[in-house]
Amino acid sequence: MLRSEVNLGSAVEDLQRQMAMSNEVCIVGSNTTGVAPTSTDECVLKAPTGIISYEPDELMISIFAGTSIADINIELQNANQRIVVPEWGTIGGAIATRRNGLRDSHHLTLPNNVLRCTVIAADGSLYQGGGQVVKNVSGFDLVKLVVGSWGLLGLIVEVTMRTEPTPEVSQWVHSFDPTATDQICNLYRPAAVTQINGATYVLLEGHEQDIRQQISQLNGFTLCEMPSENQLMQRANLDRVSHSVPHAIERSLRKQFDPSNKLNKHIAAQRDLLT
Amino acid sequence: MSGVVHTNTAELFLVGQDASNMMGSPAGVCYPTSTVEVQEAVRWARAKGMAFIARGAGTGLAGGAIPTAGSLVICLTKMNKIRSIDVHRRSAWVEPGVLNADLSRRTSRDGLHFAPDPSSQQSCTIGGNVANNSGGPHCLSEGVTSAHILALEVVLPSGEVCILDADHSLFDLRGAFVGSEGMFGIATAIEVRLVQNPPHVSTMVVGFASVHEGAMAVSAIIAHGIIPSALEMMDAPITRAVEEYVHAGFPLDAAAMLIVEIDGLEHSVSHGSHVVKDIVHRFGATSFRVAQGPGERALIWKGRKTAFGAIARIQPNYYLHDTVVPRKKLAEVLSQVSVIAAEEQLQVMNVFHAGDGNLHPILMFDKRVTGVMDRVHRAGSEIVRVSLEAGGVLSGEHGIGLEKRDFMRWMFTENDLLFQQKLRSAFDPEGISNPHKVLPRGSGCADMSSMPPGSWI
Repeated sequence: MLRSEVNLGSAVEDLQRQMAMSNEVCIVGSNTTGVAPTSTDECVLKAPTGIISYEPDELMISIFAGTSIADINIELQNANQRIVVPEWGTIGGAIATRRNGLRDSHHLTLPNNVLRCTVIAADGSLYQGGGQVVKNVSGFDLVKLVVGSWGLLGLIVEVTMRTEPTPEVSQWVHSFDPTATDQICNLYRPAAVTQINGATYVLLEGHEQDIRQQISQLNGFTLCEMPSENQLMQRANLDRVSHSVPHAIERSLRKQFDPSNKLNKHIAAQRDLLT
Repeated sequence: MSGVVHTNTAELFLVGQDASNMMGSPAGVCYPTSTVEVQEAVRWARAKGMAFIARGAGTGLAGGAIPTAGSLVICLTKMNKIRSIDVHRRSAWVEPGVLNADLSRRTSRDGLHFAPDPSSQQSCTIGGNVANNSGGPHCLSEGVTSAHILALEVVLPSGEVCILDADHSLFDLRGAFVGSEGMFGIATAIEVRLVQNPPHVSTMVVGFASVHEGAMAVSAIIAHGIIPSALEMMDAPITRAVEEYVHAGFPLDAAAMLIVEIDGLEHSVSHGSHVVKDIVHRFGATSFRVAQGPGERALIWKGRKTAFGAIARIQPNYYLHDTVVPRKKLAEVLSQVSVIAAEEQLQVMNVFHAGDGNLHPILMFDKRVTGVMDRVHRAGSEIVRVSLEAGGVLSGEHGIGLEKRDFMRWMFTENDLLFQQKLRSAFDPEGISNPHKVLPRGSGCADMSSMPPGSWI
């Protein structure tokens, strides 16, 4: 292999050993989504923390998945960059639950900004998808599969993310007028549009004069603070119903990635993915 | 069903090849016009114990559409209807045979377009874009095809049909399907995202005295926090070849030129353009021109996207490569590429997506010369090697297909490949949908049986 071997240090090797030895594993981040062990038999595994490498000029950061998003953003702010993920919990947790937050409607959401994932499989082995470049179609896309898989396909230990320059201005506006949404069509690519409790919230980002101009085109909107993303937490739930054919594919994935039903058993049960 | 499967030699010859240098030998070809007919074709192939392969326009460069011996080609070019356009939601349902550029032409009156814009966009299909997770110059700011696919209607290798989207499963099966090179099933309808056309665009053409300075300017622009909508580089040989017939006003005295495009709202475009102008001059730009109006802009892009046609003026054959390297390694890898070409006595030209670090070295040759193909393949394999050693990856947008299948071990461990295989077998447990592609031979990963002739290694 020409790629330099993955060497994530002894913390990851310890986790691999624990994964291999355990019969039941509960994967947790910082407990913000309510995934918690349901029995004392479960071995609780957490990804390590810390920034592995950050290259601002490449717009790229590699992080241990247990790192808090707040800590990542502190590091990125020094270079006037950011990752757009709601600022609670760990990056591994956000990726495992596909937490896009308020920017859900945008085309460059979380899954598109995860460039590489290193995962400890249920058998304790390590697998990696993606690469440390911004564009990559080398093989099947394990990254997309792992993002939003709720720990059912392995423990994410490392991720490489694409960062973005922080825009000059980020301004939220809102309106309680139910007809307000009609005007949004006239805006050029708002960074976020969302409805919360009957109000329409819009995020405009970019050059200061452009944002001022865009806001002046809106009637009945007032400037506001960012709405609380906690209200969106319910959206990251598990109550969607899988249809029968995709569900069969999901069950097959589970069977192959976790044949002994070791990982996050209660979530697997909730989704009828125990095999 | 057998009545609609064509087996005459001429048709089989046509669908036996794509835009790579390889040749396959299918047993038959059919042209379904609906999802139900695709299902029938898949079930018919299954019942006969045949493999099948979906085919769009055949513009793929990595041999992904080369049929395995004895397989059924399911050609989707007759499924070319735009089923619906939702201007308010900014999305459209299209059939897989719709041409990439046709969709954007249709939606232009609503001020919308489909963002992925591969150079082949006049002839490639959206189904093919999904299979390859295609890119294009404007993917620098817009993201690749995957970011623009909302939902897929898929005929699975079992013959069942299902919808893959955010609502029908917990796992992102839609995301996993995009870029699976036809090995997970056949997309029979695709819901795409449409994006707003930018109100302002500034397209700059910048000449440099060396490739190195051009590459340094690319890194500096991105490092400065400017993400252009496109950031392309062309070296002197390709610039001259293109200019001779497109007359786009490219700088003929430059060793390398950049096309830098910034789009969006008025002030961000003017600010971004000023920053770019400052940076390129700091890196020794020898010429700087801003396109005046849409006509000049269109001509610049015509020059960029028809570059491959210009090669015929120099040599009868070419081999177009596709690797990605970290941006900071661009200059270094480009100089390694020119050494590799010189060692194999091949002419090389470069026209590529510099902002993404996505290299496209073009090796030019005359295949009638004895032994030349060995040199071309040796050089190609060295280009892949130096790209990976620089921290890069095998492919940025062409895919693995047959071409790079046996390089997969250069990039992935056996365990990485095993998990890719597990993903594939969840969709296609019997390995009958476009077998023998992507995953390398000689491990538990690969599909069994023979290789189409002409593939390298």
